[in-house]
Amino acid sequence: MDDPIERRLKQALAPTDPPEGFAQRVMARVARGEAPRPEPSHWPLFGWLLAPAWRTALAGALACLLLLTVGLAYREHRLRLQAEAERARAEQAREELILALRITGVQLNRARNIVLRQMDFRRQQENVRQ
Amino acid sequence: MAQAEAVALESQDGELARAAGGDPEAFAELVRRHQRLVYSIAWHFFADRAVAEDLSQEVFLQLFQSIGSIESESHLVFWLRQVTSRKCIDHARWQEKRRHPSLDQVAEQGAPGAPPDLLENARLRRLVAGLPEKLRAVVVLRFQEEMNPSEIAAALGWPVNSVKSCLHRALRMLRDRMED
Repeated sequence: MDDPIERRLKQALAPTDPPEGFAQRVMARVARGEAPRPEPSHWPLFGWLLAPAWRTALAGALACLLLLTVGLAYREHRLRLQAEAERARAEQAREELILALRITGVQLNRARNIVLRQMDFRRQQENVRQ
Repeated sequence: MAQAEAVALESQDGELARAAGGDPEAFAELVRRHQRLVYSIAWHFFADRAVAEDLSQEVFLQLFQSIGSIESESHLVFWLRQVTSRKCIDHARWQEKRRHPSLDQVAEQGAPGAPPDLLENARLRRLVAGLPEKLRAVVVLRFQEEMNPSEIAAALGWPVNSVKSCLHRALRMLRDRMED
């Protein structure tokens, strides 16, 4: 303790004897069967809530409330995930349908062209025969 | 020397066992042996003799109820320091809400004719009693009980780093206030 204030603190806070008869006064209270006072409450208005009987009930109620909140939040989360999955499936089905229609359109066009070419060919042959 | 200390410790532990067994004389002897420690912590915490005496009596009433759980003399000292400090902190917080000046504090401010060292010590004690309660507890245990930060941390149930930071802040505040 080289610091001057630390040296002075050690000197100022040197142990002190209690007033005369302290032990007798303690023993008198012990003999009267006195119990130590409960700790002063820092929240006097809500102090009753911290009494042992209320504390258990309060803890139970808070635990139920917490479980309910967590349960509801989980259910909400699951529903949102489900809705998102359904939306994604619908989107995929729509894209697949558009692709199928495009393919069908291309195939029909191709068949039409073949039919038209064959009809032209027959018409030309009939003209040659005549 | 070491043998004498061992004999003394053995006799103190025997006294503890007798007190735990319900012997009032043994308990009274425990009170007499440790009253200085308990009272000094409370007195330096509040700089108020009435509050210090009342809190110290409460600590010993609590000890009487818990004496069966005390295992040895060193455990008793640890228990007394811990319970006294916690009671002081709790009482200071409760007092803070009511804020009434103590008669001792008022009386100590004006003690004309006292030697300069005593006046200086009284002023320092008042400054300590004016610190926030956590800092006060650390300062009292450090400089009255000469406990190191890890012992203080164990007694108060705080992390060692919190104790060190409280001590640092308290010394800085005291230095600043001493210079005012």
